[in-house]
Amino acid sequence: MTTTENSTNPFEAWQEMFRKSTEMWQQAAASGSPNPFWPPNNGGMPGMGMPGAGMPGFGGFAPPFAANDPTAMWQQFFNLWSQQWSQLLASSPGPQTFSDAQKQWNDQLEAMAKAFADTMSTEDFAKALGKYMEQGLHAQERMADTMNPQIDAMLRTLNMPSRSQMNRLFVHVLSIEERLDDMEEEIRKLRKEQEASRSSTASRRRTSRSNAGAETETAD
Amino acid sequence: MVSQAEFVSRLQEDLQENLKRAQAMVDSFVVNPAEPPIEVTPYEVIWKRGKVRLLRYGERDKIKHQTPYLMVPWLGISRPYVLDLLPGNSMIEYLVNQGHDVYLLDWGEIAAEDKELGFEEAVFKLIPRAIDRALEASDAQEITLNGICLGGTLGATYLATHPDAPVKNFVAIVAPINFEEGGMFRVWLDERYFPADLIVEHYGVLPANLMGAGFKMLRPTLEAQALSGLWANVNRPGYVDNYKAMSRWANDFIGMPGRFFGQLSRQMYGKNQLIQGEFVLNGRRVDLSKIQQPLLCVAANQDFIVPSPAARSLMDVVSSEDKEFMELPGGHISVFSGRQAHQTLWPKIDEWVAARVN
Repeated sequence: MTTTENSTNPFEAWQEMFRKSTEMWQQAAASGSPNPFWPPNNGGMPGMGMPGAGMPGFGGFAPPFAANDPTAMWQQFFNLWSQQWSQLLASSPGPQTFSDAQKQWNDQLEAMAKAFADTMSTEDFAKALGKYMEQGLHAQERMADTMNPQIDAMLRTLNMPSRSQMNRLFVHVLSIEERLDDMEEEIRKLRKEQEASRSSTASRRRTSRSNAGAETETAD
Repeated sequence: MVSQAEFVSRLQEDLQENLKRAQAMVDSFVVNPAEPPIEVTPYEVIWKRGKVRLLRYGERDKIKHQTPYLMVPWLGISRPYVLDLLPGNSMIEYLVNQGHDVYLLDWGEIAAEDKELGFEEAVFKLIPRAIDRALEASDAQEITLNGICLGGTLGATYLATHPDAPVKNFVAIVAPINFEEGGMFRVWLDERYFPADLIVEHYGVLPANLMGAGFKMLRPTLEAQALSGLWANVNRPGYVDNYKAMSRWANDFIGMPGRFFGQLSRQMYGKNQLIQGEFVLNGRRVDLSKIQQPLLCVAANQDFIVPSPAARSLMDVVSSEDKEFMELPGGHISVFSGRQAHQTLWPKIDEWVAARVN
């Protein structure tokens, strides 16, 4: 396992798999047929099943942009990773022991992390992510519009509160707690002012008493 | 060149070592799968407003430094128990043992009903009230404010808008200030592409699962790397407990209030208003140069959530004469909750604060 040629074989197989899956995807996108990996407007939570979510070939991703973009973007990721992987393997001898193998695995993970970081720090990725989220949210909204009345009706039948009713209740309870806290804060302030005014009155009294005492002494 | 005998001997040693690891893995995760308890330091709740709680730690008679030490963690994202993770791996426990009067402002578990919680309420109501209550409970005149991650951003905003705040010192740990240097989040939250408004409108909050996905996307290989680290260190005393506790915390995400997320994504990551002095709250411009308290600013050299320059920028904008910057080895969390924090950050905070409060 020391030569680059041997080591890149599985990688090439992976790339090939990736290429084929994106071709399928592109064809599906171009023909307007359902997405080969996920039904359209699926209503699934965007980002669920991370970290693979959003990556073509890992499932759960509907193409929200021109079909060529993700291919180029993820091709760049695989190129970067494969380049770094090959460099790593070329620069060190093959693993002699489990420890060596583990070290190589760690180095490969690090290389993969770097390749991910390089790919995902791009504007293209931000654009794709934004579009993906937007699409997912719209799909969820449509799904909620369809499902919520049915769920609410079912909950009413079971004499149970709906989610929105529970949310309103939480907001209500929280606002009561907050108003209580505000009132407590006001009381604390008033108490402090009262204490301050008491102590100033007491000190004024003491001062006037001592002044009066001094005047009496002078008069005597 | 290694001789054959030597190679065989190394292989045997290696095999034995890995068998021991496999045994330890079975013991730790199959035979004894229990997770260690969380929140190890005893506390009492001093104040509560809705879900927000002010916790006071430790025993009164062991306090050596009378100035309360108030920790303000991040708002939303995850729970603050990573600050009190395990006996021996707890920043709170350490500071309590050094005689500090430690408080924590716990924002609670954020849900849809908290969607209106934003910078305004945090900076003008919750933090000032928590400080008041801490001062009253400790019978003190001033506190040391410790903002961690976004808690540092909130803390800096509070100090900048309250020039007469009863705060003696400010400790900012991995607190993002210059969002231009905000790493991948800065790219992803680009307001031209990221549908922040749509998320807030749809969910009311940034939900925990989206939050988790976002953080895991920052470093997709992290869990594999953590597992690899576990395999290598499974026989080290305490490592498995620490792994279990940290792993539970790292997957225990909570949401972020919609209003706060909107401000963070648009005004912070989008327009970088805070450091430019353009951030306006309740009609007041947040001017970080009004911060005059002694400042300890801490960053981590492998932090990909708040890269070091994003945190360091606080040093350039405050007016504090007494200010110190430290860049420590580690990541965003490990810098204050890792095994090495015991040797690096915690003693430094203790020493720095003790020198300024007595």
